[in-house]
Amino acid sequence: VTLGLVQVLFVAAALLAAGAFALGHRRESGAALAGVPALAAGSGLALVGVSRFSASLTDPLAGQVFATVVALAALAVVVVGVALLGRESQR
Amino acid sequence: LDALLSTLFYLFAALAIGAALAASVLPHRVQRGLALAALAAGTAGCFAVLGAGFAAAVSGLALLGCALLLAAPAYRSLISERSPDWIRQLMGPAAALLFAALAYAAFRSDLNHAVYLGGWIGGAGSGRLLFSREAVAVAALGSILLCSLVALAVAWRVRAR
Repeated sequence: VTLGLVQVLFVAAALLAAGAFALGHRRESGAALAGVPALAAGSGLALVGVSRFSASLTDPLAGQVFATVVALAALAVVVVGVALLGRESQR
Repeated sequence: LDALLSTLFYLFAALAIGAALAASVLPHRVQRGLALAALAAGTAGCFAVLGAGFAAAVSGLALLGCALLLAAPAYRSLISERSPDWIRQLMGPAAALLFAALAYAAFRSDLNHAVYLGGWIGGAGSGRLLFSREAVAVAALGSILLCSLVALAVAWRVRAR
């Protein structure tokens, strides 16, 4: 099947759903944090797909740049989460 | 995209989806870290196939950092007793419903089809966007990242004493 925007958005939806499942289902806080990278990967893939297949001519790279920002924000969330968990586990 | 690139995308997508599902169900932190590393590889591969080489490199490194942090023994997992079991059990059907809604929206979407002119790496264009037009947003994100790294370092130092 030739790749198009619909297929990319399908994959992004699967990654988003897997991340949301990990965030809501896991009782351990560290395991729940593992859903954040999956959420970032799904949203980033949707942004890159739109940038690749249906971006405007004036700004073709905006989706890719925003996907980069989303991945870095996910890293910041995980760093803060691990720091909070390390602090809470001392109590 | 041609058949070779489409096949490569589906392979990387299968790796990423399998890794995301594995990371959400595996019990041990090292196993979860390995699954997240596979998720980083699959996502970076998908980005690279779609012609976003710069985003693939940065996102791959960021997701790999997440995997290393979550696999390291620097924290002890706390078990939340606040949410009842039936709410957590409900998250499975809720995630399936979310996937169905997003997949339906993707299938029914009627977005504009455009010719891509961004190149394979897009480093120069992305750099221009990041450091000139979106410089304030990038500076804010960098500050957030720096503050979170400082908080992590302080938490580790306090714990080491």
